Amino acid sequence: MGSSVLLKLINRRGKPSHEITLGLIALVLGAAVFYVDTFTEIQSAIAVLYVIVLLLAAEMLTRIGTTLLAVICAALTLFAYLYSHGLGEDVPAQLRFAVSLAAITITCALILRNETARAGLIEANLHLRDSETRFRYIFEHSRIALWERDYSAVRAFLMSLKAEGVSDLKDYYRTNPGIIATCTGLIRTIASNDAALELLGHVAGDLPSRTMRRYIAPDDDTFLDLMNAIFRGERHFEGKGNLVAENGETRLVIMSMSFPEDPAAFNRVVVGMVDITQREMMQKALREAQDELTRASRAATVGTLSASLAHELNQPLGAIVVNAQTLLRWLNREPPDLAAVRRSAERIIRDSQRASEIIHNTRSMLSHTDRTPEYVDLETLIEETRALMEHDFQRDMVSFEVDPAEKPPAVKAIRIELQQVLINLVTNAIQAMQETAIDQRKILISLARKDDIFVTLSVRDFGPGISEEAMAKLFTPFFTTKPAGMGMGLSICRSTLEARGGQLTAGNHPEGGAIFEMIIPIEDDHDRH
Amino acid sequence: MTDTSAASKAAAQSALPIVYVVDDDESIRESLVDLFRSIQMDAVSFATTTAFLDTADLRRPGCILLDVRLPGLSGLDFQLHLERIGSRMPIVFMTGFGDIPMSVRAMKAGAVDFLTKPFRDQDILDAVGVAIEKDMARRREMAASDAVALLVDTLTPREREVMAAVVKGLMNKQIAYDLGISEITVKLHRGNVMRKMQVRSVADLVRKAEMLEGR
Repeated sequence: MGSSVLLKLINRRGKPSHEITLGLIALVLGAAVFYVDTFTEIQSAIAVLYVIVLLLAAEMLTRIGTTLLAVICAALTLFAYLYSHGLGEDVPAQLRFAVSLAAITITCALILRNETARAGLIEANLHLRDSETRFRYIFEHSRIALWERDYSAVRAFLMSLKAEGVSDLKDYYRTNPGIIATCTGLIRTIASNDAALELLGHVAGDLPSRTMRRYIAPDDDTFLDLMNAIFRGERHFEGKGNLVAENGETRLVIMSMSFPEDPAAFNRVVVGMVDITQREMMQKALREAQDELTRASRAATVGTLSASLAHELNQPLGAIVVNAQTLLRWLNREPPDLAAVRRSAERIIRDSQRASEIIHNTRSMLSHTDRTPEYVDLETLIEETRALMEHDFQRDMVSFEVDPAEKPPAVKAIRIELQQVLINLVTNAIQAMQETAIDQRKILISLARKDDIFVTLSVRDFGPGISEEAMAKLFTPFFTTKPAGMGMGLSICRSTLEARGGQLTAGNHPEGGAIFEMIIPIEDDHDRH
Repeated sequence: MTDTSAASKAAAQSALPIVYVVDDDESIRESLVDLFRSIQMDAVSFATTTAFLDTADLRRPGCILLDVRLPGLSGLDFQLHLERIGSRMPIVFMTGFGDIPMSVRAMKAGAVDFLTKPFRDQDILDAVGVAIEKDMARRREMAASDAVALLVDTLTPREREVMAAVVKGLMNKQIAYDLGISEITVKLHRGNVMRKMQVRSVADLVRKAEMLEGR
């Protein structure tokens, strides 16, 4: 109990021995002042000296302790006054008493205020240290590569260029490409975190206090953009650039930094970088895989095409051969029938042209470059597809019917793309009906205007339809229900249509079988992509 | 022109063989018809099997040059259909691509030949020649057996019984016993049969009877 009261009064800040000494001195001094004030006849404001006692003791007392001591001092002064002067009207003594009390009160107030200020300062300091620690922690442990860099030299250099009259840094660079090397040489790294060291391929602890020259990829435009940002006094910079790591590997990074308003603060600019090399590589690989698959799908179409092409081309070629041989027969007659010879020759010419046209059409269908949108009459497209796939229909005994509905307008599209999607859907429909009774194997194509913007081409089969679980994953790449399928067809079909602003939907017809709908924009949506 | 001359002309023409070309490709049709015309052979072409069935005269001797791959009924199905409706006109198949199972099926079903486009003119002419010769021979056989059948129609029932027994190689005595008549009566019937069937020897009678077999 006593000790807890003591705790409230005594504030242990310094060394105990020091405090005890100070306490003892204060005590002795207090006693001496009391004695002189009370029991001697010195006509002076001796009690003012309690101020020294207060000042000495304040060092080891809490606010309450100090206040209490001040009250005690005041009480002692009052006691001494009453003891030596009583309640008589001694004006000088009263004045001295008042001065002493005022001194004690003011001193106490000052000590208390000082104490408050000191406490505030300590607290602020603590906060600051906390914040600094937190910042360090974030800096050190962030997975974003962070650097603290000194850009003041490079800024000074750039400003000097400006002062010399350079108005466009990029322009200046074209005639003075050396400035990049100069600039990279002027940037120093003050600190970097683990992620930054990792990014550049350093072992932890090896602080790269060198300049940035080593790490900037020589062909990197981003650095010039960065310099330009400083040159123009911009406050932020964000960019994507290449860094050369310690082991020589190039890393693609996104970097971001803010520049201070105060030029003096350019000596500590925090630069953040995220390594996107992997992501970029993944995206590239993904794109390549997609291209590959599109090619594979085109190859499948080529397979269908070449079977059809063989037949298509054989007809005029067969006719040419027969015509030529017949021509010889007419010619070998006695006398030669020249009118018949002419007819044969004309037929040969016509059939040769037809053969050449077939080859030309096929080539333009397969050509990579022929991707210009044109007005495509969907009815013709369907008929062409029927002709292309006639062989498949006969082989699998599937009938192919086109619903004679209203005639929708021609659509502006890339013919080969629509054809590929349609062939794919029809192929799927044929395959879906492997188990269907032969007399029920039918593919129903219908064509309708959906609204002002779209035309719908639907392909319906009379197979078992799409199961619920298959429906959920239907357009997912690599999902397939076919034993030898790759699962790319529908996903490619869908992205092909979507790339042109269209859609591909799948569902089951209420009377059985699956129905796929190609929703094709009437107007070309090519520009958007 | 009188009716009789027109009829005789039609009869004379119908006796000449004809080639029916069935192919959906116009170029092929035209070239083939022209080829046959160059050797003075009649040829008519059709784009579809339906058109062929509607207009072709199946009674005329000749053959069908048929494309395997046709819209609608395929060539092979058409071959079966023709057999079902009783046409025995020989078929020469044409195909754009040499599909072995398909050609085996066609040949088993009685096709004369299976030509792969593009073909040599001589190959077509040879195949068509064989097919037409086959058709003519069949028609000659048919005509002969028709004649025999007409002769048989003049026989009385008893004479037919006697003829059947003679063809089997039975003696007059055996026939008389089997039919329960006298040997003299058998001899009488036998003489009538030989006269009505316009034969001199039993060997000739047997040959004529064989012609009727399978009818």
